[in-house]
Amino acid sequence: MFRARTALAARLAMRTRVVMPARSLSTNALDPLDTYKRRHNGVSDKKDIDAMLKVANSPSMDEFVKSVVPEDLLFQRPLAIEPAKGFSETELLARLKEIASKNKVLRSFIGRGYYNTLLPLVIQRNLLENPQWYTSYTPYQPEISQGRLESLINYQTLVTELTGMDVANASLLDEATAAAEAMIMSFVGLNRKKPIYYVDESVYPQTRAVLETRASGLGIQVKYGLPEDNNFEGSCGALIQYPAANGSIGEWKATADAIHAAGGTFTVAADLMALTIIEPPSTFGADIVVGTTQRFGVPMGYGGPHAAYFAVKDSVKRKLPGRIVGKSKDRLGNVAYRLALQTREQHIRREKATSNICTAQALLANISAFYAVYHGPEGLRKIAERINSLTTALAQVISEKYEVLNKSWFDTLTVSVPSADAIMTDALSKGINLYKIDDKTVSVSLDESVTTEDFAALCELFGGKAPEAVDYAVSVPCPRTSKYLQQPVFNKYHSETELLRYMTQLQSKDLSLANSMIPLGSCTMKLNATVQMVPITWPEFGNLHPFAPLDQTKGYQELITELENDLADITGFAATSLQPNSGAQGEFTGLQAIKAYLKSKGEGKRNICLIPVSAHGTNPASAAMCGMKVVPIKCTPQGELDLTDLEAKAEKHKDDLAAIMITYPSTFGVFEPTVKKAIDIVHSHGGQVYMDGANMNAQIGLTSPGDIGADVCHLNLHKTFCIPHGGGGPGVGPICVRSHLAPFLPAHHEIELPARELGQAIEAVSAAPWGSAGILPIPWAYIKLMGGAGLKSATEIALLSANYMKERLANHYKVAYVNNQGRCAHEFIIDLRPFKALGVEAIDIAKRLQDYSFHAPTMSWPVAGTLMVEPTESESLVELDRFCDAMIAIREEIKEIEDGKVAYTDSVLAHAPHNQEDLLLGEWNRVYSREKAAFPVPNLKERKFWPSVTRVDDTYGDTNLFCTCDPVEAHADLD
Amino acid sequence: MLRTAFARSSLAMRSRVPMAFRFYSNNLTPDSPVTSYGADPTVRYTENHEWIAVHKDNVAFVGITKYAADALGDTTFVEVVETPTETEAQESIGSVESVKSASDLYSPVTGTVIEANEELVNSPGLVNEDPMGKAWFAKIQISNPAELDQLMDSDKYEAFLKENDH
Repeated sequence: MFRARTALAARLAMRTRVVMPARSLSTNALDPLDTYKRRHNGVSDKKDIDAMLKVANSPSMDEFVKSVVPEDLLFQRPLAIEPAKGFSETELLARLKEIASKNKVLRSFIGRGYYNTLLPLVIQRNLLENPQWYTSYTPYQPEISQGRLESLINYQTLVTELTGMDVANASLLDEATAAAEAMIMSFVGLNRKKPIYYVDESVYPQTRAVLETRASGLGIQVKYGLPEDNNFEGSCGALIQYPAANGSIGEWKATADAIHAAGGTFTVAADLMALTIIEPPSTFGADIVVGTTQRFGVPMGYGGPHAAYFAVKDSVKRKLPGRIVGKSKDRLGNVAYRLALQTREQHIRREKATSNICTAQALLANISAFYAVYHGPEGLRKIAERINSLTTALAQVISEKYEVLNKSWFDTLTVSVPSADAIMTDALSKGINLYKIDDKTVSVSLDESVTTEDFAALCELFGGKAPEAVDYAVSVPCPRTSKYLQQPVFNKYHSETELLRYMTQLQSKDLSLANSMIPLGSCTMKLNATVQMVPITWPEFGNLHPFAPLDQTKGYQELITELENDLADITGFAATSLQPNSGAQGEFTGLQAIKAYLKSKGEGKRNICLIPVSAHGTNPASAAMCGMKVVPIKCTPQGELDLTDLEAKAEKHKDDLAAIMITYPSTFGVFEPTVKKAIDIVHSHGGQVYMDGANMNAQIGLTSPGDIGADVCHLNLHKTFCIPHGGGGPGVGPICVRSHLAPFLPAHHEIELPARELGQAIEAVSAAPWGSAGILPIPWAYIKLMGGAGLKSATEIALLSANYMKERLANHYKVAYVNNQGRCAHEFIIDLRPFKALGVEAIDIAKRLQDYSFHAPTMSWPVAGTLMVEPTESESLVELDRFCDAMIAIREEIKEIEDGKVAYTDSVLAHAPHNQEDLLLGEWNRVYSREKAAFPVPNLKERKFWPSVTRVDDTYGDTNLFCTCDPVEAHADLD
Repeated sequence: MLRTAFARSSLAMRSRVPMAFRFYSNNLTPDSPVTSYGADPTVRYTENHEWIAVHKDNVAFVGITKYAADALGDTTFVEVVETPTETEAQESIGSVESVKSASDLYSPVTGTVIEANEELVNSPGLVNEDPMGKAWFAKIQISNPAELDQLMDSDKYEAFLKENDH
């Protein structure tokens, strides 16, 4: 029943199988009662559903669904998910244990950018396993996000201190894509006029592969190896690895000078742990430093997720890709953190953007930040010194019998052996994984987890004997002389009690799903169930190296194959690639696959990508990154795709048309009835159809991208399939494709993926073969717990909840977009522009919602001056009503301004949000009472979430950019 | 991973923002550096909301319109090009950032940027104070005056704004 299947044939077989419908109520006492669906769906009581249907004016769920989704799109095939009725929670864990037992966790000394690490349990339990940290959203509402913003400032400070650079961002997806961003920054910085980019042979192959993928779309030529005469003329820069892949620590000053002489940018991929004891790249002229903070407490997770870092000099800080946390002040003048410079990239610049990076790895960055806070500079240095001392001792033992090829090292030794296979086999028998470089070379990398027994086993493997004791003796060519991490935060939380209290203090400032619903449109903030989160910290999933031999990772293979098949079934497609680490990366991957497919047909000149003006900004940014030319398609005033314009543009570009990118339901939250027509138009003009899966939560079990007629889609596993948002990452953005695109899915240099066998695979898009494999148990578990019918019911409840709220709020606000039956899909847009004449803007209502203990809906996207509400299926009727009541009460507050009773500038809206300091300190001389400010509705007296600061000053923060934590205890006066 | 929470009020986008544009004057500020350079410059507009004021000697000032400045909100950062720089029409000759938006400024014409307004870099707030006067971005010696025929005059620009105001 759980056999892994190969994609296409199995899918066809599954389609024809009859699947029994799910039983909602079992009559068999042998059936388990700890079923999941009723825990996942916030509304499952028939009485509640009937009441909601009544408000939505619909006689039944079936009739309701038909009024939302165009009938010609509704499919009749049941999903082929096994088990059809879903596992109980106990059954699920048993099945996962069975899968996990097929993963063999050997001692990994593979290295190559992935290391064992000792995640302090206080951090594991209170952060990684804590819903207050993992269920929060990207901190776009800073007043209720100060905890993780402070932690991310700590992260940025950690990076700038260790690299010696001036400014760091709040993390990127992985080291390889961070290096790609550096390459593109180098290229664009010289106006795209110098296309050559040098990549030194010290750089990891997984990074090089991603650089090649990303270079291809922009016309950059990646050259492997630095020019022999050190002449960098004609190039935009170079990348080196420090320490190198072979372990050696190079001397790079002359290289840096030569690159600078030619006007190029020098990028260093550096190991942060090594930087605690060797000179930082700033000392030898680095312009950009990138790398991963994985070994700062984040489990390897078979490849990810981990936080990559990216640091630059002050002069180019405004070109930094990704998110940056900056310091600003609030209305009362207190220090407040916020996301700075949010407008530079794809959100606004669309096809002019140079990056489609739209996310970070906040949860993992926070783990690494707390790891550094807990150990402090002394602790980190001690860890690095131990690693280096043991490596030196191992080198002495090995040198007695073999040659160590690298003459300097931090943690890695490259060893010449008579037969690599022989020593690898010997290692396996001792439960050890080494890395085989070629037939006569292996490498071994040590880390903080090495025990006395490990060390003895390694010595024995190389024919020596471990010494009784090893002295701490740092042996590196360029020992670090400068101090680092002297800021108070890294020097006062070294006992578990203190750290626990610091973490708790920070988390209490952040509103998460543990506090209230987060109705962010297009973000799908649904339940991240505990049962789905439990397995990710099991050692069988957490402690596997991504390059471990496949016969040690059979459990992962089984889970991945099942997940790939289930996702393909759900999307109506033939094959899946789990490699992309975000939705935007999925877009890039899907378009690259389309390009490769067209090229294979001799139609490589097709390079026009049609994109509706209503599309998310990542769409045109991704197309531009692939080297496609973006042609915008108009939308009608009702927000629908303008078919006349589409027809005209498709006809005009019929010889060059490559693709269209559409979002379905549309970004305006409506199932457009004309989508099939639009797809037909594009197909008939030779183009492929890319469907953005951001709104997939409205489709599952009712229709699918494949059934609608698309060729490829990405999914956001962190939206639709329960991976938590982590306070701003991780994300996972797999793509699913029709069979003709399957051969063009991404490959990996280290691990043979199925697409590679077909010989036409594109190069890797991520460093690890399956991207963020470590969190794939979450979507797998969600699907298996719900079963096919359960997934469909979740979609129905999501649609009903949105329409119920829309009906309730439509009496008080203007709802902007609906279909011809007055229905929205899974989300809807409230138009606040009519209030602008009063002075009231969307941001006022967003901030006022914080006083009601809610996170605002998505603000001013996709239409400025609006809020987009998406409840998901996981909220109860009580919570839906609580939110509607808050919005209605706020409408009354607006009315006071409308009626002339209060001036906007004096109003409770203009002053929102109110924190305790604002209400308690100083004289109260507002026109409204303290009670109205803080407890405008009675239920808040029982359940109040307090914003920790008042409204944050965006303009001040962006004009005075400051991105690290304060060097001294007292906060400087901001004015 | 996520859909963000920002206004898409890019200059290059058909902005949905201000309902109140009708009350603005998208005309040059009298007695500004632009008007005092010479008498009666010809003023033209682009669909990206740039203005260009061309003087008799084919020296033109370029900036963003009042409408665009209002759509941006508080300007936090301005970037201008080094001079002299050869530019073609539609090539980026600067950028402007606010808390809501970031956009490139595109040259409406082909020519040479002979001077950039360094004062803007230090005082980005000028863009909001006086977008069609003190906040000029670049001074261009234009090489093909015929290109101006493709741009909008004041009436056409106002009509364009009305048409695109949903």
